[in-house]
Amino acid sequence: MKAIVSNCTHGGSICTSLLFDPAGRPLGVAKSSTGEGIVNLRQEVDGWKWYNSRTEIKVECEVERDDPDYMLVKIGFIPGRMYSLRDGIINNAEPLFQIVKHYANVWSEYSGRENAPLHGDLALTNAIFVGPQPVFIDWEHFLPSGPPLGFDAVYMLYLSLWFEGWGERFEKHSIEFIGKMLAYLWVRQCLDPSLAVSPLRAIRKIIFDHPAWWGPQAKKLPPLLFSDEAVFHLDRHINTMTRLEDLIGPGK
Amino acid sequence: MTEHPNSAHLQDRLQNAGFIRDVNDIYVPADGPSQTDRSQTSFIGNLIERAGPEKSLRLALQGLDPQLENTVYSLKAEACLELLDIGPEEVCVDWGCRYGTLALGMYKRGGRVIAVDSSLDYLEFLTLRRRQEAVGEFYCVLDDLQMSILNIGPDVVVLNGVLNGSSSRQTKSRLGTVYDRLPKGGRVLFAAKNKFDYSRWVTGREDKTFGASGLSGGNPEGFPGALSFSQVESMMKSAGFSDIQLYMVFPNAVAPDLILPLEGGLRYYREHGEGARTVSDKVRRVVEYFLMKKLQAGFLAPSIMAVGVK
Repeated sequence: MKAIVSNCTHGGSICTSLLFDPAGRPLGVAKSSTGEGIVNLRQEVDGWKWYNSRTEIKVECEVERDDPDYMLVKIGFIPGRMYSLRDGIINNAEPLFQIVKHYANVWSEYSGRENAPLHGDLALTNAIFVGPQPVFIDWEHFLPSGPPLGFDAVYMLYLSLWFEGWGERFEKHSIEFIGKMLAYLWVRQCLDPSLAVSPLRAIRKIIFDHPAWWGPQAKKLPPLLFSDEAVFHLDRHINTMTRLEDLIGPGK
Repeated sequence: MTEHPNSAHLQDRLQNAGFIRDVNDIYVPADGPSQTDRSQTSFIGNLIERAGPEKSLRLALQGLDPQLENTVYSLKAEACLELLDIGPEEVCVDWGCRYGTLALGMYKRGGRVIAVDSSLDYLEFLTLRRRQEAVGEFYCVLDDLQMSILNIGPDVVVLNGVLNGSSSRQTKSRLGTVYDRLPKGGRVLFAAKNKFDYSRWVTGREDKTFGASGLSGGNPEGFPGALSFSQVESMMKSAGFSDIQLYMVFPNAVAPDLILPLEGGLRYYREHGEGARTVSDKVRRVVEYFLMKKLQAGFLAPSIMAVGVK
């Protein structure tokens, strides 16, 4: 018995299903039948390998079929809890903080380097919580050498802000929460200086400069959907709050 | 195009089943078709003409009907093939193939494909498409409701929406024919609209995604061919299938977002698709979420799929 739980979402070309063994235990299966989708599946496999070597909870990821026009990858099922972006930032403060903390733990070895690996779609909805511990999933945009350190965590925070008010409404508490998370990343030395000042503008520039990292989905990424005015005000608010500008100078 | 090493064998089987290859590379019944549908002649003819010498069908279709181009080249439709576990070299029949989306999907999964339709127009389109997409052992066959093509003994048969215009009696009889022709372990995928589809009452719109099938023709019962889960199960059983899996399909079988087992599948239900654009879409999403997540009313899902194993 199978269940197709995700099919070519957000313009992608990967179909994800759950396969149940006779005892009812599920196993994740990701497949694609296009060139672009197969490239993404290879990135998914590479991403899991990279991630598994740095975390306590290991997730099985095995290529089952690798034909010229078809690739099928089996991924271990992660029994756990997922949180909804619809509940907003403050109601999800604890899981969001756990994600930021986990990011800092996993990526910390890249501190001081010019580039760090890219998850590419880190979001509250791409983390499954096994107890308090998040497990990052959906590695189809993984790159071993991508943006400066901190990008994915900052991206995840602004994505949450976008979905909280659809780019029209920004809760003061939510912006303050983002400021605190940035300060945490800075203290953990997991935030590149280029992302520490005017962070929203900085991550938007990275997406603009590297659309190939996301393919056709790049244009739809939530950080790009904020208006220029919102970017200016949000960044000014964050800069005033963190005062990192005083330490490292204005953002580029 | 490179010929597959086993292609001669499948070609022999086609000939033994009474089909001959015509000048357009389409297999037709040696004694002539008893029923064909050429209703879209002008559209397909126009499309092939617009494709020009390079035969860029996709671009031509985009120019003529962008929405149809989206559907024809959609990868979403292929998701249902994951229910069949198509293995390399298996002989797969897409019965009522239309533009060949599922037939090509089966080919990519390693199947040796026979794409069947009662319309020469669609088969001419698919013959061109298959050449462009560089496929090897892939045959286009003209057949009608007699289903004589099944005499070749396929491993997998897909009937995705093709029987929607048929009466219950006709559907039962055709599923019986499929069962008789399958070897042990052979599989059929059958898809139908759900008679109790909640969205018809919410939006007041008839889901036209399946469309009227050229193979099945008109519906003598004056009913759009929708079935309930229990009817589908009963038809499959009376056809002879004992191993039957029923699935709920959201939002339709042509471009599904979710395909969940009827039994226990709703625990994996979640909101799906792109953001709702109209008020009626928003209402439909809220109602669907409530029905599926809170009331666990899977029998109201928009479409039904069933996989039967012989």
